[in-house]
Amino acid sequence: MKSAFKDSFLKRAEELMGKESKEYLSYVEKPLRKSIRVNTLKISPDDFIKRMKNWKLEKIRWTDCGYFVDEKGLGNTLEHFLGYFYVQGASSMIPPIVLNPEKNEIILDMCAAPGSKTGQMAAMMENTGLIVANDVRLDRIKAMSTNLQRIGAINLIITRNDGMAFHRRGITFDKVLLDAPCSGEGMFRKDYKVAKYWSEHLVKDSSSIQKSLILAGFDCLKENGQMVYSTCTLSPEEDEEVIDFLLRKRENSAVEKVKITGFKTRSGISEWRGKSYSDEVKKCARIYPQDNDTEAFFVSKVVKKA
Amino acid sequence: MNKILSGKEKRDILSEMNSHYGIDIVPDVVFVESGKGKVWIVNKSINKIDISNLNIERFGTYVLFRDKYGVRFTIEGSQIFGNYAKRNIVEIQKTDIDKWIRGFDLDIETETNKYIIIKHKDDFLGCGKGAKGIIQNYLPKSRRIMKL
Repeated sequence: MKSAFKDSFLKRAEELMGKESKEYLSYVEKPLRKSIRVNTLKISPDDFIKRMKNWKLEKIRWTDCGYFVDEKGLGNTLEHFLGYFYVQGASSMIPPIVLNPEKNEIILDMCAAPGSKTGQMAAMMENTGLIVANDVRLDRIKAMSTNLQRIGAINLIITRNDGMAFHRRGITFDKVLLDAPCSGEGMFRKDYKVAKYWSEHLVKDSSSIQKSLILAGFDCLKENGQMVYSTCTLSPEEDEEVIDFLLRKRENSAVEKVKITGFKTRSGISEWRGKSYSDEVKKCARIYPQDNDTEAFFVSKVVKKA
Repeated sequence: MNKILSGKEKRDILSEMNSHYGIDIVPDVVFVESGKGKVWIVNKSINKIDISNLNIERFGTYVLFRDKYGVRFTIEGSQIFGNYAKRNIVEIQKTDIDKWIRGFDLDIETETNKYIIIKHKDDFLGCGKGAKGIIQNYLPKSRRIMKL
């Protein structure tokens, strides 16, 4: 049977993973397990579990408030209406965990829509401090606004500015989350149609945008500030190459090793299609669907040295 | 146009909340009002950055709406302030939840013809308005659920 994926995508998967690419592709074709995050701004995980005793919930190992759930019509429940939980991909909960926003910090979520990670961070910060949830597209901002209303977070503002606006205006942050727009192969499991739009050209274009965004994000960090750069793609051009670009452009940047308890990750790769990247990129984390039965993801942590 | 409210403007809202609902807490947050009577609250940490030149689409959470009938809490507003209300709060039955979240009025007599907080056990479900033997439903269409 002919694969639903483009030949160029299949070739890339084989180059990237060798023999393992078959297993990878078999996972990419599998529908994603549904998962939710309990909104701790409104209810504790214990109270939620008691309340949903008829639901089959399986705790997600790498977070205190995430669960795999085997239920239909999650959006048509009283608990969703009340904002007690949020439907969120299990691996998309990882970037906020790696960034670890703390109470009273000032955070920039640079490409925040649809707001799931913003809501997660707002809860981690227990409604203290401030998150500037930024995006550029009005339609996406409207959707984010609806989502974040339900969360009930009062520690955020939603802004519509280009990524460079914050540095240009002298605004600095303790931490920055840059969950960058990407070619999106991690989304294939969630929405198979996304695969139709994937192309080598999109990878190249995305990489170029990501490079300008990562500089913008880094430049508005305070000294010793931390930034998490993540994508839902495994294309090295959009992942390690972007980190390597930052390291070359900003001497005061450094990569920190990403460690996630209860979650298998692979090291970043330092060579791809004839290009060599700094060995520092090996500290980044590649998340392969076959390792944890999640979406594909890439997560890295950068610090701004004093 | 969003406007960050002054101390006096904020006190006016809190006074209205106090006289109608008996809510006497003074939250240490910034109040922001649109020209149409909608009020949002956001943390005071907003004062730590210069937002003057940013294009801000939204502040924190939309918590209440004000008009001639008083203060009407949103679902989130009722969840934040409802526990402190001493009056004008109605406990509905489980069977009424289904009607309420679908956007229908409730056949419940109230002592007020103003806004009233709706709750069921620990769940706060926003505000309705008392009117001739019913509670009028103000849930926005975007939040209604047609089938539980």
